[in-house]
Order: sequence, then structure tokens, then C-alpha cells
Amino acid sequence: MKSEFRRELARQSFEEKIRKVGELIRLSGKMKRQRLRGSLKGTTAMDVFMSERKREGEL
Amino acid sequence: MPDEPSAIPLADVLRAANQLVSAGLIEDYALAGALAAIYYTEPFTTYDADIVFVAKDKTRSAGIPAIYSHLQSKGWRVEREHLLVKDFPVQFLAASGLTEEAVRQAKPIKYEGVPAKVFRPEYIIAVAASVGRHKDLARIEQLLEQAKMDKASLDDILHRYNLKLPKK
Repeated sequence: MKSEFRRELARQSFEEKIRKVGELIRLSGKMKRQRLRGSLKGTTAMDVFMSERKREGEL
Repeated sequence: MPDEPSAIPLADVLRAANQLVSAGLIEDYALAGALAAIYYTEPFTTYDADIVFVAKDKTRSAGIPAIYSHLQSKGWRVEREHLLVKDFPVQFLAASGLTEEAVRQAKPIKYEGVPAKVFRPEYIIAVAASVGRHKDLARIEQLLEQAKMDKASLDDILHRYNLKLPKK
């Protein structure tokens, strides 16, 4: 299931994937700042990315 | 602090590389490294773009000083080994051997309408196998799982450059 989802992501257009990389960079910066404030321990960039996508109804 | 937008200015990077070709500063180039892998796989975090170029200038400097001054004249900044466009780091790496072949065999693409070339997955794997860092091994696994691959071509490249895929 998870690997099928990852393969589906791989099939997206390059432009869309690059946009998502930009989002991952932004979220990873956000996580670092939140970690510095003592929250989100153990959360990966992909976790934050997935939860934001879920909230936006993309998943 | 508000979140900064982190759009990757890849079209600007590719446009600049095309200008380097038209200006006669490089012979050819292709997108390599993590961003090239992402062409074939799911997106993952990376913090720079690697452009591998075939130098026109065959001296030891590979024309890098001229490339840097050209890009700086277009507003790019220099920070350690990177050139920065819109604060996004880009590395220009001179090709030789395997990477030169990878540039010459690269796949022509268009990104946001900008013509460019990207390393084929077989070459990304071979280069990763030759470097062998932890992240390169992860990249190999990801490409083997997600990219359409010409297995015969991969075996041929690995054989010619005396490289081996890591054992699982």
C-alpha cells in the first residue's frame, strides 16, 4: 500500500514533484524551528508533509 | 517568524545553464544528483541542484572561473562551493569519464518550457554506486524500486566502469 502510494508520487509530473520538494524544504525548516521550541519530537519532514496534505484533502 | 516560501528556481537554473552553452562557456550539461533522481522517483528533500557540465576549456580549471563570473554578472551569489540563485544553492561540476558519458547520454526534457537534459536513471545509479555514501545507497534502492530501468544498459555501464551495486 505504502510503496504503491510512493510509486504513484513518482509518476507525477516533474514540475509537481519539484513543487513538493520546495514544500518539504519549507516544512523541514518549520520543523527545525518547532523542535527548537521543544515540540514535534520524532516527527519527520514526510510526517508533517503527509499531515498537511491530509488536512488539505489531497489524500 | 512567518514561513518562507521555498519554491525551487529550477527553471532559472536550467535557463542559466543553457545560456552558458550559448555563450560558449560549456559544451553541454545535464541535471544530476538528487533532483535528477526525483525526475524518476517520489519527491524527497534536497537542498541543492547539481549541474554536471562538459567543459569547453580543457585546462585544469575547466573554465569554472569564467562560469562563476558569467553567473555573478547575472545576479547569482557565491557561497562556499555553491552558486546561489534566488537563495537556492547550485553546484556546477565538471564532467569526466562516467559523468561525461552520463551528460552525453542524458535524456532531453522540458521543465516549465525550458529545454534541458537530465541524467538517465542507469547513470544516476552508476554514479551513486561509485560514490557510495549512505544517501547514494538509499538513492540506488529508490531508483531500482520506482524508476523504469534499462537493466542491460545499467549492467553494461556498471561493468565498463568496474562498479558493483550494493548488496541488500
